[in-house]
Amino acid sequence: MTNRISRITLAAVALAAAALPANAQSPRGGAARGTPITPQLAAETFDTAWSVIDRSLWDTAVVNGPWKQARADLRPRALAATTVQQLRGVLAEMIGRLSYSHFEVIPGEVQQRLAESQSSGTGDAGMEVRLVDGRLLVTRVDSGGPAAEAGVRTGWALDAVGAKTAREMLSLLERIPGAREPRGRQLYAWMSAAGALRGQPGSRVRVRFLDGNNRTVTRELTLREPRGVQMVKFGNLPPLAVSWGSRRLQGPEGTTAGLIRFSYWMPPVVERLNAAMDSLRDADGIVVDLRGNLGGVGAMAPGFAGHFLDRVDTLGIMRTRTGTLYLVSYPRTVDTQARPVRPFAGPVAVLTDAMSASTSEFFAGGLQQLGRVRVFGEPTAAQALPAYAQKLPDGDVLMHAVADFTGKTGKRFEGLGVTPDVAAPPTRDALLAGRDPALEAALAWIAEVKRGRAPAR
Amino acid sequence: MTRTPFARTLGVALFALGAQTAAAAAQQTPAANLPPAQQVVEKYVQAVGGRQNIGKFSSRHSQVEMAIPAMGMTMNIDVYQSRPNKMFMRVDMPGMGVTTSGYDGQVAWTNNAMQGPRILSGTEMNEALRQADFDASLDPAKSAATMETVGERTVDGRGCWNVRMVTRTGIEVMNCFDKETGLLVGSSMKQQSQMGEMQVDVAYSDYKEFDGIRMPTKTTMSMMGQQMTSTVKSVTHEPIPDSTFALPPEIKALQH
Repeated sequence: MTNRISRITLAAVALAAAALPANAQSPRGGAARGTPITPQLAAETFDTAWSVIDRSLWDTAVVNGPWKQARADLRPRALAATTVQQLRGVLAEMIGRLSYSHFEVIPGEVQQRLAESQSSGTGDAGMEVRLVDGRLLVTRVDSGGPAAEAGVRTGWALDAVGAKTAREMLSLLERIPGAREPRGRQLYAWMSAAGALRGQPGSRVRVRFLDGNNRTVTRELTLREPRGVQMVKFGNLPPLAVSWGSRRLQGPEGTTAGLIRFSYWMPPVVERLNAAMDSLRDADGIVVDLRGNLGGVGAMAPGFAGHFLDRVDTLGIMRTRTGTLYLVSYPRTVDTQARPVRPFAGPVAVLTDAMSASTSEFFAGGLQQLGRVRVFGEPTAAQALPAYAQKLPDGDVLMHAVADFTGKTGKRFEGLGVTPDVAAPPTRDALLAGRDPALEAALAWIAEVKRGRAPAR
Repeated sequence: MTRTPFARTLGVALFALGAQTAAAAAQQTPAANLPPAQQVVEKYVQAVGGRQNIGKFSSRHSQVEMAIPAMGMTMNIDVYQSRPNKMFMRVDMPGMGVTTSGYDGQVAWTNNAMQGPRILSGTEMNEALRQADFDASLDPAKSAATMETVGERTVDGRGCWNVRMVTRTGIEVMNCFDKETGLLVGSSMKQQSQMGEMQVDVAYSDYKEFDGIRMPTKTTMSMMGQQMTSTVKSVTHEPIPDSTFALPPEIKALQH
């Protein structure tokens, strides 16, 4: 069937390789070391992975040269692999020859382990830790969560989780090629800390901090399933913990702003985004907080962007091997109650950081190139390619990019990221004071626009 | 965006936009040795049941499962069609939600939570009109402005005649009809839409009879390096209430 549904479906399932939970990226857990594999299965798995990329990689110069060579070099080693782990090493080396994001082999046992965790739930410490000025700092404490109940404050520096020190966590990053540049370092540091602060609900984690006066403070946190989080399984991706929220904020000079925040671009969020826009339509401005949002379903970006556009426009351009596709955004002129409305015409601020990846970059960068939003915060992850997740014969999943991607004006985000219009990185002093520089800058801009002292775009 | 009649899944990818590639892949056969397109298409009409059978029904409800096996995704599709040109389609994709679309004889529309409700126009509208044509899938000569046999090729091991068909609105597709059985076994086209142009290749197989009409129950489509397969679960020709095709409130709201 060659129909529009098919096209939309394929476009929609373009995903973010970065959009994996911290404990899904690394093959460290799960399978026993040395899971045996037959030569036939190893060959099938290698050939499938190689062929999928050979068919779909948009860069024909790579396909006709280095990629053919990769097969010649590595297939014999794949056939000689006697364990799943050895084969993964060969596959990792193969996709490592591609200089793009969104190529990843997700171990099958990670999928299994995460699928099992859906029933038992995922214990969480109720706080977020990021790399700020070379230190792991608490950047968010969830109200009512374990960290908040234990008196943990933003700005505290993480010193150790259990027996693992922050120094050890950061030293591990030196071995990861992707962590050698600042944004990659931030991403992997976050993943490392987030993984250490997760576990079974009810389990206890002893965490050592340095408080605002750099005094050692130890807290025992009882992990529990966070409120407002839904485990979402989408295609061959591992289950993802999806959270969302929206609220109305008071800004300077009596202005109001709607704040919308969600952790992944996953379909269960769609209805909530639409409902949030209904409830916030009368605000002076909208703030979309994409900090820490690693991506998800690509087609959600133009759909959500339609709430802020008054004409049909192109959010992004995907150049595939066989053609060019446009992520077209249509104005949203009907609300969730089937009533005619106008798309939101006020100022829209998007907050980003180094963990804003893939679909988040499509949205933030695409609307920035259209001149519709102003971006605040830090540069994004620079991992912005549409990708699919394909099951391999041995049960692992191959994440592979299928198109080059640019905004409407032709600017690429892959390898470059989205540069904020207003740089507003977090600082320890601000965090200790309970402040959020990026959000404050966004609210100040919205107030300026309302007073007519700044352009709305 | 391009819309193709779901009837394709039921067996006929008759027209899509701008098909040239199939010709390139086809074997070069002297034109004098090619059967006339009208003859090829007429054989197809007879193979699927003949005009009399095709004309017996005014309604059709099809249930289909569509899958992207390599990506672990499936969706369930219901298509309601009514003569001459009304259509309603519901696509339920676990994890992605529901998409509906239709044509009530005047307005072509689509609606899903991700993109919102839309009334179609331009090429999308033309495509929707073609999709909604109750007879186009089984009696393609009715909808074709021109038909020409341009060569032959092989689809899934079956030798077939390549027929270039163009609708009155310029929608073009290369359809390949089995030399032996007359059935449609493949289509090739470049789809063009607001999302851009994309090469699409389709293979049809596993023809089964539904109320005297033969339709393919398996469709394999290749696009963007991915394969999608559709399997027809059921086809019935019971009367469908006109209310099925009525515009939903979200679409009516767009008209104000």
